[in-house]
Amino acid sequence: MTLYALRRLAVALPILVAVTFCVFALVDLAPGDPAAAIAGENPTPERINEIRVMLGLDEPLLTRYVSWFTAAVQADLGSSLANGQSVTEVIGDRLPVTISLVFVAMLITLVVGLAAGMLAALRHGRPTDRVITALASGAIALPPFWVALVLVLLFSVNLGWFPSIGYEPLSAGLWPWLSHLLLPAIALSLLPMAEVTMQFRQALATVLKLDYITNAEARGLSRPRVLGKHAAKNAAVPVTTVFAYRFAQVLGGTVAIESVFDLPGIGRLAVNSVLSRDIPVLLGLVALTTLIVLVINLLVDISYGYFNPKVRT
Amino acid sequence: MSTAAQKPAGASAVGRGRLRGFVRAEPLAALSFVYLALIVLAAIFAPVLASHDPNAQQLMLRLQPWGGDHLFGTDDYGRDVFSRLVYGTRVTLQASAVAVGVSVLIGVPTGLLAGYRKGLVDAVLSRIFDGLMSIPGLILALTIVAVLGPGLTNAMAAVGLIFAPQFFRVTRAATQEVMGETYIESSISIGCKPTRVVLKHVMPNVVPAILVQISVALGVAVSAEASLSFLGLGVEAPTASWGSMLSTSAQTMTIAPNMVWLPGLMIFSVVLAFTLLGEGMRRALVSTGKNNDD
Repeated sequence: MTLYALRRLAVALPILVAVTFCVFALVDLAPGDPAAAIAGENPTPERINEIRVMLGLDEPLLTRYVSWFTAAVQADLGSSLANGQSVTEVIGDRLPVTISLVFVAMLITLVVGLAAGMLAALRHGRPTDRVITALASGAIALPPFWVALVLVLLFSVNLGWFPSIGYEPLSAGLWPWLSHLLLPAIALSLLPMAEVTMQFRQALATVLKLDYITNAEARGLSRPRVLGKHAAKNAAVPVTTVFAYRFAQVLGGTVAIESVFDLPGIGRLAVNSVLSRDIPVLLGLVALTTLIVLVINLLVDISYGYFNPKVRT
Repeated sequence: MSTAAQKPAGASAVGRGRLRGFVRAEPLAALSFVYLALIVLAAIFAPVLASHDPNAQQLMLRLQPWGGDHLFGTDDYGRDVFSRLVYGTRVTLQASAVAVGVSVLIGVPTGLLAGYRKGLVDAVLSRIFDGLMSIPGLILALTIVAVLGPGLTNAMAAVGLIFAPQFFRVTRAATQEVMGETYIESSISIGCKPTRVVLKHVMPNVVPAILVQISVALGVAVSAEASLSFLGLGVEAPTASWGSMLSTSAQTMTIAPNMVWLPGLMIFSVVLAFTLLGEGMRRALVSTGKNNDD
């Protein structure tokens, strides 16, 4: 098992290096000389050159990448072009907002998705099932940022139940924190929720037809016990995979959602750094998000090996 | 636009009797196809259909309600919402065609190659596309926009790059499936060149799976264009796009709530139609359905 985990890790690490290198090289192709930008108005060519040497821009691409990467491993991602603040700090300040948002969204996804999936599986082929399936296929076509706007219109503007923009940290209290996150989290969770619902419905319906379930029922076990202890456990395996793989999507989704609700998270930071072409911040965000997604995929792979010893070879 | 217009070719190629069978077996997909055809027509005949110039500002008539001279009212610059919606179909379809075109061009040849050659080529290509898949899509698109500068074509080419792994996987899986057949083995053994084997024998069997993927990807591309234009990274200022219309609506929703509903419903219905069409085609054209993992 440990060997299997190490082997998966050996695959994940080169991907992280390759992705960051490609993005690094891509950014290097970008028109515009950062040294000239820093030198200010009417700089002498010597001055520009001086800054180039100071920033290490005269080094070859590979050398610069290696020094960026070794610094990045030590949590030093350089400094923002916009205000000179350390990129690690800029991202660190905004990360709690995005983590809170993704956490609440994933929680909603799991609770509603599993409940709806179970209901559909138990009523397989009946009207309840058809309604849930239809709603889930419809939800996949909903653009999350539009759902966000509609939720603001209905619940903030018309009903006034929730604040429409802004963020309060958890330290300000549970409700102020949650009330700012509930609408964006619902908008963000619809897509993965629909997928979890479909996946769990499918898996549970298949499991419920198996002999050992009939056996458990014949032994006189109560319905909740058969469902929870015997069926759901097995049906949960494919759901874990879908859930984890959708993580990248949800993380990407924060970009538009945070803009609608004006949440100061890393999604908004990404948009701002694109608009102001703040390359160090953008590189840092690419590295961080890729790392997060790789870690999650690694955990899924390892859990696969745990659930199913056959794949360990 | 061309990609969307080519779709009937795939359906009608199987013959008129089969087409009738398809309509009976997949009424939702057929209905979606008709709807999408109407959207394509609306894009082509936008100047005829639109009641006003989509960019003409009438500052005296800002945020007018429904009805009257302006069917769906006016926006914050007094521009006709109906005409902007009609012209928005052009932006949406063109942008989605660019994205899906890029991903087909990248994903299909590499997928054919990986499925045909197997071994090292397959392993290397698969690793590259795995790596591409592990970057959150929108973040990658943002990076490319930052490098190339804003503009819809750049943004959508970036989106195309993100979809490419899906086309690679679908093509590779379908190719591998065909490669196991005896007739491939026999055509290789009678001395057919690899290009001939791939183009004449492998391609026709891979096309249905790719068509399905194209339809599904077009749906996602429509949504992606809307998101990017909403964030101000897509279309340039006066051009009407459903996404950019929604971004204005965010500021005016207290006065003009219909500006939130209409562009969103357009995006939703078009995405839904592409998805339903794709799923219907998958059931009808792709025998196993295992070719596609999304």
